[in-house]
Amino acid sequence: MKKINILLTAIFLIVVSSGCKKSFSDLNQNNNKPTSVPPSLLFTGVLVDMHDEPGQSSEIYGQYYIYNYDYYGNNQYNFGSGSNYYSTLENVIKMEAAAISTGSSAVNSYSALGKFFRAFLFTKMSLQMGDIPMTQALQGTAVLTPAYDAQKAVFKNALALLDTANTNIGSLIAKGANDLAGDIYYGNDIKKWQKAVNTFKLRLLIHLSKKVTDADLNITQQFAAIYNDPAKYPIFTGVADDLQYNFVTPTNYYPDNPANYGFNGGRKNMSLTHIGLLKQLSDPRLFIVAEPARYYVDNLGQKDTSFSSFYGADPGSDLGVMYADATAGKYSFLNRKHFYSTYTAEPAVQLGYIEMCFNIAEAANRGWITANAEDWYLKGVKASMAFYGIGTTGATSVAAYFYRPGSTDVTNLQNYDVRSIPFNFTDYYAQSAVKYSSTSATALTQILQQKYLALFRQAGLESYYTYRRTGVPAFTTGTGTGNSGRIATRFKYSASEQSANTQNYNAALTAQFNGVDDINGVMWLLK
Amino acid sequence: MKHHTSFLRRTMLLLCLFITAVANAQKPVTGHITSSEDQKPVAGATVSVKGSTKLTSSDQNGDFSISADNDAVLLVTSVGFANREIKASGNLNNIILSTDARNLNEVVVTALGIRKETKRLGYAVQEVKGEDLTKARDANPISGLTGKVAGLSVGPNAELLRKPLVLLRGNEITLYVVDGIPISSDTWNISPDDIESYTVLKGPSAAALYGSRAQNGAILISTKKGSKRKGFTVEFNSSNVIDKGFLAFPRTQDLYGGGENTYYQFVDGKGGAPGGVDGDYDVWGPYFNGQLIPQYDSPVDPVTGVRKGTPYVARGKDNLKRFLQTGFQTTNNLSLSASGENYNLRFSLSHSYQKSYIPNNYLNITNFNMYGSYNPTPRLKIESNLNFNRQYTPNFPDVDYGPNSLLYNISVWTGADWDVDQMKNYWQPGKVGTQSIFAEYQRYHNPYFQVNEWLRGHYKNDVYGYVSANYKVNSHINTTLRTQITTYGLLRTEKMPFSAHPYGREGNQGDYREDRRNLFENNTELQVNANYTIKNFLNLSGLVGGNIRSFNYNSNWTSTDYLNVPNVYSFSNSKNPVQSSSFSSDMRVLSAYYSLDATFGNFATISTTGRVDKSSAMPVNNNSFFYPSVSVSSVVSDYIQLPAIISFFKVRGSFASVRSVATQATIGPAPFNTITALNTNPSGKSLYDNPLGYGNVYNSPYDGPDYSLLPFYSTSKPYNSQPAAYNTTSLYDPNIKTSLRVNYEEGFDIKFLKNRLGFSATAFQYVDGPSILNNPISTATGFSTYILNALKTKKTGYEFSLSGTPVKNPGGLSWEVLLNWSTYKDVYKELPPGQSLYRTFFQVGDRIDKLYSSAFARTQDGQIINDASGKPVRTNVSRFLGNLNSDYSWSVYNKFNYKGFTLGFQFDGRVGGVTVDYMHIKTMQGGRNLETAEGALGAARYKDWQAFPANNISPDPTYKGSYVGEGVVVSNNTAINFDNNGNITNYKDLQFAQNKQVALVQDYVSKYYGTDEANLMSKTFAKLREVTIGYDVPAKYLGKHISKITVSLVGRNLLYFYKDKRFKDVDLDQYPQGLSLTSLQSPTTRRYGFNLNFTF
Repeated sequence: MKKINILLTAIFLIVVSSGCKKSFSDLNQNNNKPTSVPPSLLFTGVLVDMHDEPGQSSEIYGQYYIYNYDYYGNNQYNFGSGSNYYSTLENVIKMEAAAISTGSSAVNSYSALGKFFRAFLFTKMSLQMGDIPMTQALQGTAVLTPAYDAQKAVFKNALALLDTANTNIGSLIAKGANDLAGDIYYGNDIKKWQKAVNTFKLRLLIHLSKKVTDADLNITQQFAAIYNDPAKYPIFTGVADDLQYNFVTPTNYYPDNPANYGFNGGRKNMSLTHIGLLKQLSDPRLFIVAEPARYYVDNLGQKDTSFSSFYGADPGSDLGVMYADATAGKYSFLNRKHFYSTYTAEPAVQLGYIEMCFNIAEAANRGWITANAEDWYLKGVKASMAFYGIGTTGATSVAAYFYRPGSTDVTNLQNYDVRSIPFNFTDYYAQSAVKYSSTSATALTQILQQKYLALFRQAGLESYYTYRRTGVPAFTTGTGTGNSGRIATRFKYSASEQSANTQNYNAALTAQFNGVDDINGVMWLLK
Repeated sequence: MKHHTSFLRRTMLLLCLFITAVANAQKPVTGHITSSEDQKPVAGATVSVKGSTKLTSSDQNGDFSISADNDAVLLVTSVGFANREIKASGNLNNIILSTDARNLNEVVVTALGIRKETKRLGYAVQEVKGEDLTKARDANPISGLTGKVAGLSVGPNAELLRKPLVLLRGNEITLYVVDGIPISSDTWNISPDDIESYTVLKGPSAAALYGSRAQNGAILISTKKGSKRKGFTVEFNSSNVIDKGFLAFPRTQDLYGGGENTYYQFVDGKGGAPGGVDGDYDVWGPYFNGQLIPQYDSPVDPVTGVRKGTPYVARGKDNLKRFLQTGFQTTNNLSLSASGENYNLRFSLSHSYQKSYIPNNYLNITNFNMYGSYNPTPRLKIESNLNFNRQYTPNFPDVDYGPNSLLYNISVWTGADWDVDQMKNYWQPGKVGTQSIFAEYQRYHNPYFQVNEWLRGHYKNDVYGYVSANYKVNSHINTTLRTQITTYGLLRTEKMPFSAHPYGREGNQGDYREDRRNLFENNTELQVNANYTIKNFLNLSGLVGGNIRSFNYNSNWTSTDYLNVPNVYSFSNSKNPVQSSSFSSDMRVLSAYYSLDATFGNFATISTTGRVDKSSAMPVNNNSFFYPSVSVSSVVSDYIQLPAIISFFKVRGSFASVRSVATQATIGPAPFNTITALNTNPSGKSLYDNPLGYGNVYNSPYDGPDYSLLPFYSTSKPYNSQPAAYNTTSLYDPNIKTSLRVNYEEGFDIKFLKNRLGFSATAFQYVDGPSILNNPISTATGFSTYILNALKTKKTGYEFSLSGTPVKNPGGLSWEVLLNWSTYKDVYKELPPGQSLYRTFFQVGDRIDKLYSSAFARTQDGQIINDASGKPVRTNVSRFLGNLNSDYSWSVYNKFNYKGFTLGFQFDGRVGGVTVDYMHIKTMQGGRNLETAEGALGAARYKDWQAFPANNISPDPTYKGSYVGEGVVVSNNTAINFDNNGNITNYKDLQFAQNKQVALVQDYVSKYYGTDEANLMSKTFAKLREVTIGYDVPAKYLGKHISKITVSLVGRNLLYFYKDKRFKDVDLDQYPQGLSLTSLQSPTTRRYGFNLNFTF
């Protein structure tokens, strides 16, 4: 019996001593993840979130570079939900709080840029969907069902935020106070951010062109204030100021690159809307961004340097037929040399000097500011030519590279037919279709056409918005574009709104689109 | 009479043993029990010592052993027999039980390993004998339970080493309890040969004593505890089966090869051909007409470098069938049991070898189990059990959709233009180890290269065991102290060779990965059991106990980022920096519980249980919670005279509430992983993040904290290796509590005709919620979900079991039947506060398994509406397509006995429900499915090929196709308008005409079958699950050392019945759950062979 008592006691001791060292509250924590982070890490996250890349649906909707095989996608305007940047905006709030909690003063670089991000992201969503929650948004459990702000209020708020951002940054620059870190665009240069803030404001004002008579918004005055006072409102002075996403190896490849050429090289082809305009203007950028349709060169013997050898597919055409024609080489594809031969092709400009030039030209054309519209138009065209490496002074030549069919290495320059195409910008500009017209309406179309060409693979949905606002350039429709032959005018609201914010969602739809979350509904901005 | 010879001999032997035993008091006594009806041994009879808690049961030979004083009285009870009391000192050599329809004192194992009489149970349990699963055995020990228990659905997995999905009443069971103690189980670490019985605890009330882990029920496993008679017994069981003959198989066409738009030529196999048709292609290439086309193995002119054309023929017909081999499985078990006066021992060694029908893929499992018990004094019993299980294979298949999958490569995305037999020498000359040979080099892989070079290893050591001490304080009270461990160590490896290029790893430079996981869990518990009978009327039996559960888990996942030198699988050979992710977690649960059964004479038993848990998985302010249960049973036939035809009638009812905490039953390779260097964008927020863009994510047993109730930042390096942080996208209710499930269950058991016919019926209602809900909220809050206590669902169901013995002819033919039937449905009862809609489509009262997915726009009379190019228009939002769950499940088991021969067979199946066939979507869209080359589609496809100019058959540059799709077109040039739910709102404005527009087949099929509605399949199917033909070799041939030999011919999954042949590329057996989309699935096979059982 003694032995047994010892045995039982021993078992009991082993069990009890096998320890409960940590408390329940310690054990409840997830030690694998941080619960607080420095503002710079959140800043980097926001900067990554806000960028648009080429190769996305924006260039389908802009009728630039379109799908030919339904398995991978189609060119239909059957829009789903618009972009959702609310969680990015929540990161902005957390970034501002982290800056304060790590000792920054009330006005600091993060708080100033926080205002820019708000203006940038709220209007980005509103441009897609219409009215959106703004004033009641981002309050977590305090407001679980935020009401929608009218699109006008969103834009008004955004413009005011940009003004404050500009003022705040101005004061920080004056004080030499800058604690930015983690900037992937401007290397923490707050002066460049200030230019971006004002340049972006110009873009927003252009979006409001149909509301020019709205006294409440003061569009023309706001535009003029910036344009006329570069000391207070510095704007971009060249492409070096661009807010652009640079592709880097080996972490962030350009979406089209040697590694995925075999997958993606043939699944989209150029669109008639884009190629047709380049051909119409005898524009040398055609040779940089596209390749001739091989059928016309190889089977019909046309010259590969001839504009007539380039074909874009009508986005409205039947996708099955388009795909068969694409396989047969009847359409132009993205220029292999420019877009596929390296991993970093070209930067994705989010907000650029070139676009700004055309925006100012448009404002001048519309009489918002006193400026030489043609001047700004020319600046834009020339800067765009320069972006593609095309000389704009005197007789020069465009070096075109066309990938030889049947070649097996897209990185090897030996596989390209190199063509030197004579070009003289003066002759180009002398064309009546290009030369800034004396007729204001024609001139506006020219500005918008050149802006369209310059924004190929850039600036997200800007070209779609321009079409939506102005009808330039003419988009085509057909069975390929779906939606019963209509270019959709807006995106739907996020899926969770219908069930989780029902009342406000329905109220917003009633106020705007006859109660239906209708992709063909016309938002305030477009009326 | 043959039986009698062996029987007599054994009786004599026992008698001799008994005489020697009688000399000492307080010793184990042994006995032998037979039936009065047929004089056969009675197995599973309960023998207890009156006035004590000691009990045992007879083995399959009717023998038992129990320790008792000489003056003790033994109570012998067994289902269908009258109780019998007999003095321990009396003659126990042939205790004859008379059949008595009135008494059903069957005993089953219930929660915490407590054995209870079924007549006292107020809830449904169903028991399956271990031996029923070891003959026509499935590769997986748990898959064998298919169809054996009403309400239990087992979805056997078609893939080697994957576990079955075990659903009880529609919820997955993840708790396996061995001899009263929870173990961590992947279902493979259980050796069926060591199992005495499986008990399925159905409702939460049955499982209320195990706490949250048993919310969905539990499977209790009782292991074999050694021989009941003195001396030792050796048993050998060998089961050998082959896998051959397919039940479900990809339905592929062999008329057209790979390519696009009926066109193909090989340039470099990487999209170098015009139109990119030779890389990452579909199977929409040319018709096999013997025409000359440059192919991967066509000769290249050494001077011009031009690849010549070679005849284009279907040389790869039946590639998959030719590639697969006959699978084989052998399982051998040797066990030795011994017992003496105060000990019981059992040692068991099992080995299972499964050779997959996929070449060079196999699995070994070795299992060692030992049990020992020792009584140092009559009051004290020390018991210990240890199970060691090792699963090991250097290569097992990965079937998940992607270039890593054999099916993806052979049956979905490449055609019959290459011959699998020519792929056996898979290295290119001069490029051994760096470049394989195949028909394509961009996306697809040579299958022999895959199985011989791209190796996935799995090595898992699994140990569970316990030590317990039971001390009898007096005849009423005994106490048990028990400590247990369950632990595993896992290593998974992947050796990816050069020139393999799955999703995200297109660099073709190889990789090596390791996935290491360690789990350790200890449960230590103290229990006090008591049993009192008051005035021969009220019996109180019960227990109180406490448990400490300590849990620790850690894992790491590491990968190279490409290799420097081919074939060297080591992290030091990584080309770019090694990528790694690690995770660890701890948890503690303190529990106290009680159980009390009060039996009032033979009128009723009322049982109550209660359990309190304090779990570190919940926030500290709400980490203690209570689970109560109460149940009542009454055997009406014990106190009311019922018509003679009714031999037994019991009613029962129960209530329980169970809570669940923030834990997950399984865990993935790299929880909270944020590695982006391998070209994936993991969420960084989940236990299940896959660091890779391809392949199967292996989830191993966990049952630890998931940290889902706490906010945190996820960090990653999204740009230029620069770190970034992101806030959580969830809001958290700071007062979050456990989830609640309230369960009601009612039922009755009735037996007729002296128990020849039995019927058991159960109804249940679960009210789930408020649960811990990850509720989608307005994203404008800055967050996408709110984690709070909300949402109630109500599940109602019915289960019926019918058992009968239509023929019972002693010594001659007997026939037994068991039929199980079950159904349930689950509806929304209460939505989150303030919501009238949940997840876009659901309202209160809606079934939760309604499937909403992509659908065609249709006219009011149901015709498909096409656009002007003759392609179907889809609605702009998902539409209701059907209910995912089956209406009901059924199974019928028949067993015939005739003079030593037995024949058993089982049919089972499910009826109703829908799902979407993923294989069908992919093979249709890809042009590989048989239907794309048959009928109208096939005829049009042929014309498309003839007309395509580059094929030079009858070129027609104006050709726009010839297939005319079903349905109508809008004929009055009016736009179709939809409302928010995808309903057309302007039918009145629309005029329709028959569609006459021709279309090219590839585009039409891609659009039509890219719509889920077109691939919607019924889930009704049936299987001939198992057939066993057994024969007990008569004793006269056995010699004196062998006591029993049974030989069985066995077959499993012999027939699969499914109505619509279009969907016979999927075996629905694997999907008992409400599943909106199937996955790629290896062809399922028939399995047959033989089983040998020797007992020495």
